[in-house]
Amino acid sequence: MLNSGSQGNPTPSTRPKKMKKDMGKTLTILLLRGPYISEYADLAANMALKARKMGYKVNMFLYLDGAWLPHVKTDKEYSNAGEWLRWAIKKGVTVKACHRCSEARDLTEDDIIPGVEISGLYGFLDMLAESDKVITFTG
Amino acid sequence: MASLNKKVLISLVHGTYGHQDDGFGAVQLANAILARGGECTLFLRSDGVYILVKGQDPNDLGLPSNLDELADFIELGGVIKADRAAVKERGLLATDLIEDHELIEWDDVLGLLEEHDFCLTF
Repeated sequence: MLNSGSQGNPTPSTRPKKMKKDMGKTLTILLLRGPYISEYADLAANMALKARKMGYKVNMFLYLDGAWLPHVKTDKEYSNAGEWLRWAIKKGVTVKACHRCSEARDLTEDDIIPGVEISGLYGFLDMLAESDKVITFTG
Repeated sequence: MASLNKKVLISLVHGTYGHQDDGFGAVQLANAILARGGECTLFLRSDGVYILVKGQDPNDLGLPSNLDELADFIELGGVIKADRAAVKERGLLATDLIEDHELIEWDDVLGLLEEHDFCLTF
């Protein structure tokens, strides 16, 4: 289980270091909510990291207000879903954000965390096609 | 482009227009699944049943009508099921709703889940 810092954000000593060997299963996470309005963005990024640590191949698709998550680019002194997302990408999680949702929110690849691909809905369907499990974070 | 060989259940629990853009987003995704060759059932529960109400006109809100998206969904072969109790609790009558749906009981939901590869909640 990942631990959190005193304010919920990851600390260097608690960040996942070792990944188990590939277990041949794929998890896709669909995030519909943006950061800070609820915990769903934090939970989604945390689950992605946890699943990677367990050896899953992990995809995340950021849809509707979930497209805001990669806009959180800088370090903060409080819980930071953007930092969790950066770690997830670093650990091999594939992250795509809905093109239409991003465009509606004036989000371009220059505005978001590097490594997040802005993609059409078919990008999500490609993720579904290879998935063993799918979970949605919304509320 | 490879066909999507999956059956996807999309469960919509939020009302139209007033709660983020969940209804619109759900049906957009449903239509993409069908267009890609997958199968899709839209299961409406709680306030999600409001998406079936006839005569929605969100023009004053500057939004597209979800009924247009639903019409595409039906034309593409999508199936709509709605929780009978949720419809009744909201005082909605059969005459208030578009016709292309089936009312189901909660006892049917487990079977619905088993019939599909994935369930996505909006």
